[in-house]
Amino acid sequence: MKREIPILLTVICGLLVTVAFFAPAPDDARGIHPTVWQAINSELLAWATVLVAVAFLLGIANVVRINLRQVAARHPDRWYKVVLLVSMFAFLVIGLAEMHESDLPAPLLRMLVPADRITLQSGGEIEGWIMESTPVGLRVREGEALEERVIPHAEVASIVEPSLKLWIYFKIFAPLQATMFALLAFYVASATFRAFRARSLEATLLLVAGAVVMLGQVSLGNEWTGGVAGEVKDFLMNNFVKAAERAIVIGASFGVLATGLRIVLGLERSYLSE
Amino acid sequence: MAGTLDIDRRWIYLAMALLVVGLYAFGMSRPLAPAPESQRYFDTIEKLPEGSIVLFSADFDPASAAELKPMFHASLHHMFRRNLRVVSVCTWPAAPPFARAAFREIAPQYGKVYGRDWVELGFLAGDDVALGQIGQSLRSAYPQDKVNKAPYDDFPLLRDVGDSCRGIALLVTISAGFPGILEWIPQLTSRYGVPVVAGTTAVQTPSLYPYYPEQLLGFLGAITGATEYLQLVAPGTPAMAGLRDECQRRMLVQEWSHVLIIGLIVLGNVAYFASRRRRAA
Amino acid sequence: MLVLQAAPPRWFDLDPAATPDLAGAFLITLLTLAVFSFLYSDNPIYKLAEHLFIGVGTAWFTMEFYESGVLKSLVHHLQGAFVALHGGADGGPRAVELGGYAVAPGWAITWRLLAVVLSVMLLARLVRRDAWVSRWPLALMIGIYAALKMTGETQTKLVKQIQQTMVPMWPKDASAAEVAGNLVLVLGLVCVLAHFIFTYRRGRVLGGLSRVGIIVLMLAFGSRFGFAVLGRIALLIERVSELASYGSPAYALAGEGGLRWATTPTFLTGAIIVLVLVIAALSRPRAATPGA
Repeated sequence: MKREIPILLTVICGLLVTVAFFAPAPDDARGIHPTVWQAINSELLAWATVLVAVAFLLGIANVVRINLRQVAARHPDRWYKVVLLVSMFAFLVIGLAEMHESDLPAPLLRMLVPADRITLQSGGEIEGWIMESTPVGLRVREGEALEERVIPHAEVASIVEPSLKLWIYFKIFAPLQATMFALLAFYVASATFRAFRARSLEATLLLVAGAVVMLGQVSLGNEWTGGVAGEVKDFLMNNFVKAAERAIVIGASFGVLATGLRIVLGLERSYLSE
Repeated sequence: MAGTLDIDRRWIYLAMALLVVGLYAFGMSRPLAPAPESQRYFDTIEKLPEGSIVLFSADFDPASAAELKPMFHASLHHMFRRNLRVVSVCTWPAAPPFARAAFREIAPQYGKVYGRDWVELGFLAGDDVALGQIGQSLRSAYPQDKVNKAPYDDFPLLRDVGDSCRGIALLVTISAGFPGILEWIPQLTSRYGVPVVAGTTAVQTPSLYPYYPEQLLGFLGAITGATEYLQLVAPGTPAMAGLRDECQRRMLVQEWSHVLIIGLIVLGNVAYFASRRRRAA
Repeated sequence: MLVLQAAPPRWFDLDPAATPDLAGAFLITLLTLAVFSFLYSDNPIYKLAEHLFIGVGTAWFTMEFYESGVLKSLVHHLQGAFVALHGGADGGPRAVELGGYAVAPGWAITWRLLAVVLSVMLLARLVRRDAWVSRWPLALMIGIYAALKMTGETQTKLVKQIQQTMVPMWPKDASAAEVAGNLVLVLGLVCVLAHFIFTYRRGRVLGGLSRVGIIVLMLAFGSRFGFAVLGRIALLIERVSELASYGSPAYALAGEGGLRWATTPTFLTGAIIVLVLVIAALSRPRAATPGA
């Protein structure tokens, strides 16, 4: 039963989504209205979204567990692990506080979430926390007790919404990720010198094609070759690359179709083994 | 010559760094002739009737923002200049801040009103599942917007988008990888007939050729595609001139870096064959 | 890359629409140069930056997945459905739309609560990696994704790709280059597909077709390599551009004339990184000299 029920679930959900694909798509212009298949498809896809998110939360729990274990075991790099865990939890607290600012008690809200600044048409300024923008106005929590009130849109001149979450994103996360990938430029230069050898006809063709594309994509290459590099590059991309990529796509899609059918019909069980 | 092969790789890194920094400081612009694919991307947006609804997807992160952020900004300028209505979605979790920053900067320049001219729906988890939900029913996929956290039906723009992508005239996706244009085409274009154009990174550009021009009407490939598009968009959009000039300035560095890489390939092979001949002798 | 700014930068400004602040500029340049310092050698400041990246990145992704998958798809949906239980004109239930199809709110709540049950079952993996209850939600996800991929990709990547290849090879008024291109496209496709046939013994015909297919593949992979180089270098240029913008006089802390650049975030943090690298190099134990 422990194996049969998951396989049955895979088959049922897979078949339902497959049948929903073949159900007529709603089209008001042609009088085709949504049916129960749209509801089933929508609900199953929503379940998948929820489960993907929960699976990710599982992943973060694993990250915490592994790093805590290394800190406890006095790993040589344990202080870096501490930085990882502290930065992760600190950012989580700040970000979740901003996400739930309408639910936070006043002391926590003041501590964790920077206040928004609303400049009124009259010249006055209000410092508070904007909960939402309704058709009538801005719902704001302000004052000592953080009472809610609605400021009509007509009275508002401008809004400044500071965000510590976005500050951390743009000043820490974004430059770090961008620079990590920028390192690849150096590695590709080193790799081309050390590893790219024209040992055979195939390797030579690969290198020549790469050089033609590099020259053909930029003005300098076209100036040096009288436009030939660009023409050859276009011919390469529109014909050779198209042919090869299309063949790979067709071949891969045969594989996807075969594997998908096996999974949906319950014939594929390798995903269940641990 | 044979000893060249043993060179410390850090000398190569230094050569690359000096070339890039030096040429960037030199600051000369290098325009590009627009490729047919970039021209078609531009034409597809340009020919849309005013008031058409565009589904604009940000499918990238900071790692690919160098190539894709100029495309995203230029596309938004172009769409707002054409008075198109924009529904923004994200399928990458790191994309929403870029989308938010772009709309915050660009929408006021055209006097656009949130809810009427554009709506931001934010990130939807699930990759293919997310695209499937968006295609089947945008209302079910996004019961609320991202900015005001207001219900879907509160927005005049969203009321004009029905199920099965009814009302969406064009999908524009700025995509770095998975999920992206290669997933949008099966889920929206093939299934519901939504025309699509895409901006993509250099690494993904060759993968787009099988779909062009039948399924993918036009695309911007890599930073060169972004530069070509900016050259087409900037004449009618003074705000784009600065970004266009910056991208053209980067083209000078790009071309000489390519020359360096080709030079390294040649040098590496010459040194390799020389060492082989020496060993054989 | 910065847009030209009118106002001078403040020391600390959380407004995302404002000119980037000085504290942020220092942080960006320090972290950028810390990562670049890895090109010289592994060092403590790089490791710090790397672990900070993992920590902050994990937190960001967690927040986004939580907001999308848990908050919006579960909490807000269930809240809306509970409101709809008595949201009708007569105080009775109001229909909830799932994929455009109206269902009773009670059913909408029940079905979505099943997702909650499945989520809890998935969380059993925290207790035991091979917990049998966690296989049920996984099996469900695999079934859904397999069906989505199978149907979408077959239509787009199999049927349509084959259809798009079946074009006239020499249409009327086509130039020689176009005809050549069509020939390459069709024959190249056939040859590459032939290369991937491993279930027949390679005779002269299949071997010949396969050889041509390899040549087509090598030209394609070489083109991919060319584009990959283009992309990687573009990423590097963008970092240099950002460092240059924070090395401009607008971000100088003090100084006159040419020395203003020395007090900018780029150069100050660069000096810090160089210092760290020198200290790291000097404190590395030296290898014993043979025969000493």
